[in-house]
Amino acid sequence: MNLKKVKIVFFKEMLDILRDRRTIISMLLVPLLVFPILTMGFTSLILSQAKKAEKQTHKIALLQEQNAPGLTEIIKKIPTLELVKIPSDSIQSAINNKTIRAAIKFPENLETKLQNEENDSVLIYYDQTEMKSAIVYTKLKELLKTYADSVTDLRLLKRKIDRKLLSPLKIKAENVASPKKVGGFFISMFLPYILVLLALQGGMYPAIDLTAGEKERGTLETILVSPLSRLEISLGKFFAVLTATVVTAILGTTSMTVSSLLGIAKGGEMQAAFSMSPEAGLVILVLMLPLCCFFAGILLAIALLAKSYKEAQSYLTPLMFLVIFPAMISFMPGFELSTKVAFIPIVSTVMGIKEALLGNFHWGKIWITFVSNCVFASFGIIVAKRAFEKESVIFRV
Amino acid sequence: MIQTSNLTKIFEDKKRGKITAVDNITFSCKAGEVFGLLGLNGAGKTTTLRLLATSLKPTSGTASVSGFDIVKEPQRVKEKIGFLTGDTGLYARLTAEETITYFARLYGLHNSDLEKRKTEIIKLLDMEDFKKGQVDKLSLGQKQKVSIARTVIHNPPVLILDEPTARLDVISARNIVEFIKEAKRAGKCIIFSTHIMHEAAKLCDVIAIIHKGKILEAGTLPQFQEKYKIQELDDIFVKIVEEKR
Ligand SMILES: Nc1ncnc2c1ncn2[C@@H]1O[C@H](COP(=O)(O)OP(=O)(O)OP(=O)(O)O)[C@@H](O)[C@H]1O
Ligand SMILES: [Mg+2]
Repeated sequence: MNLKKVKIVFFKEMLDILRDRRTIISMLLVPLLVFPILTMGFTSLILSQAKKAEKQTHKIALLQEQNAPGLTEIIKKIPTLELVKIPSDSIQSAINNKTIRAAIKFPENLETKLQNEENDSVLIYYDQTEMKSAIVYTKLKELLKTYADSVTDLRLLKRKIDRKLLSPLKIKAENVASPKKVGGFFISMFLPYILVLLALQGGMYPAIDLTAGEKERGTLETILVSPLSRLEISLGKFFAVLTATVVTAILGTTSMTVSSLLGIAKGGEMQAAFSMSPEAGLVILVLMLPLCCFFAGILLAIALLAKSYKEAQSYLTPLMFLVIFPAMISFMPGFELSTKVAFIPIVSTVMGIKEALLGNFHWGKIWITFVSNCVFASFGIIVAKRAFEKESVIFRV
Repeated sequence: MIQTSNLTKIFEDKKRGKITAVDNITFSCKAGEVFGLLGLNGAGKTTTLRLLATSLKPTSGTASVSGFDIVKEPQRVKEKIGFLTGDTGLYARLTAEETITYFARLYGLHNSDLEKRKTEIIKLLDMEDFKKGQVDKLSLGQKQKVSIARTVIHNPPVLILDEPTARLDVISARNIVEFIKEAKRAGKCIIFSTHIMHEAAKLCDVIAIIHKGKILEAGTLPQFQEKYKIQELDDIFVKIVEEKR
């Protein structure tokens, strides 16, 4: 093998894929824009929706209001609530079709009973899956609780008992996690997942372009007859795809870090400052690099099986899912990088990076992950090289 | 320059089973000679030429190209050949010049040698006007020239051309014919396949009729005319092929 020739192929492939709009989009634009857009879009959407919901007037219904004239008066005075008459048997459908957001049902002689120091209950109808209904529910609950408190106060006053007597012990909680750690926690969940997916995604179009794309355009045969060994061809292409995966992953990490630092996600949890320790950076590098090699090899080998761009895309889509599911393990709380896990590709990388971001460095397991990933990486490279050597793959008819 | 001996290629096809695409072929072709493989669709022309170009490995038999064995020294063989087919494409996103540079580098040319050869080729093929143009924006004829430039950039002694005029318009096809004649004058060994009879008749020193992987007969056009007492090559071709049915 002649490394100089590998280099010639590599530079030519890089030049070629960097002029491809699809690659530019998937390798540069997607990782750079996905985080600002995602975080900004999501949080501002949720915030604005919530604000709007709070200010809006909502329709509610009271059932058997004659049982609670006092409470009814209080509710009538609240500007954001509008009372509507609904027959009691159509409450459910009225909430379902959003004629009203919630309803309260007062039991027989509620207020008289309360005055006589008897207890009873009220029922609130609402739909938890509807944000507006849930907001109204919270409001009504607060309102009823305040009312109940005032009744309690009256009863206590009658007996000349101090209210404080009823709460001997106040329970307070303080979250000792620094805002940084809270932010780190969320980032540690998302970043490994995103990194892995971006790496794969970034290598996909170049891999297709350099294999099935070459078959489709009839250029593959021209390099097969040029004085290159199959190993030189596959290595040149491999390094080009590897570069694409690595660049995409690096850009993705940078973009995610910057957008969370700048607090683009205002109001969201990611707003908290996030800083990555040098060790965590090292772990990401050590774990991502062999995984990227693995991806590059597999992507090339699979895409080479296809005759055309379209066919290659349909082969690689299932691969995307095969990677998404293990990568999602980073969202699972309580799942840790164990020695066994360290041998499972993707899962091990995701878990190793997640723990490193949380400040846990299990170096032993990290090295096991690295070594096992290197084995998978060499497997990926070998598969790609084999594919390039197979006549039935190269000249598939 | 080219000498095949009992060259055979069998494909294992999942649906069709064993396909003997090239069946025990032996022929030779000297420097300064144009050797034409004449055959119907599926006769085995492309497979034969791919074997010579080492992109396929023979099932049995072998060949030597420019003194190197296609099985034992494929790398050396590749350095000695220029390979062009009607189907080979070009990298659409490179310019004409970048394409030539890329292949020149692959053939081991660099620095001043590379520049010199590139200038030479561009002048020879009259490509000055469009050398900076991106390939996918070139006309078909211009693309054809880039392909030829890529094929001969390393000045190979052997040219392997698989239906080089297929899918071309009259003018572009004529460019190719001129290119072959020029190469013959320059003393190159040229093997090319076609099913266009008049092209074969016009260009070939030796014509080999290939059918179902076998070479049925080979000779010069006058030899064929003499033997079959027929003037036209297409009639000779049909007669030979029908006789074997
Ligand atoms: N990679 C392959 N796998 C399986 N069978 C193949 C392969 N390549 C060619 N064949 C078969 O081998 C036979 C010879 O094909 P070949 O392409 O050499 O013919 P050809 O003379 O070039 O035909 P055409 O004029 O159509 O180009 C055909 O039956 C073809 O289907
Ligand atoms: Mg053919």
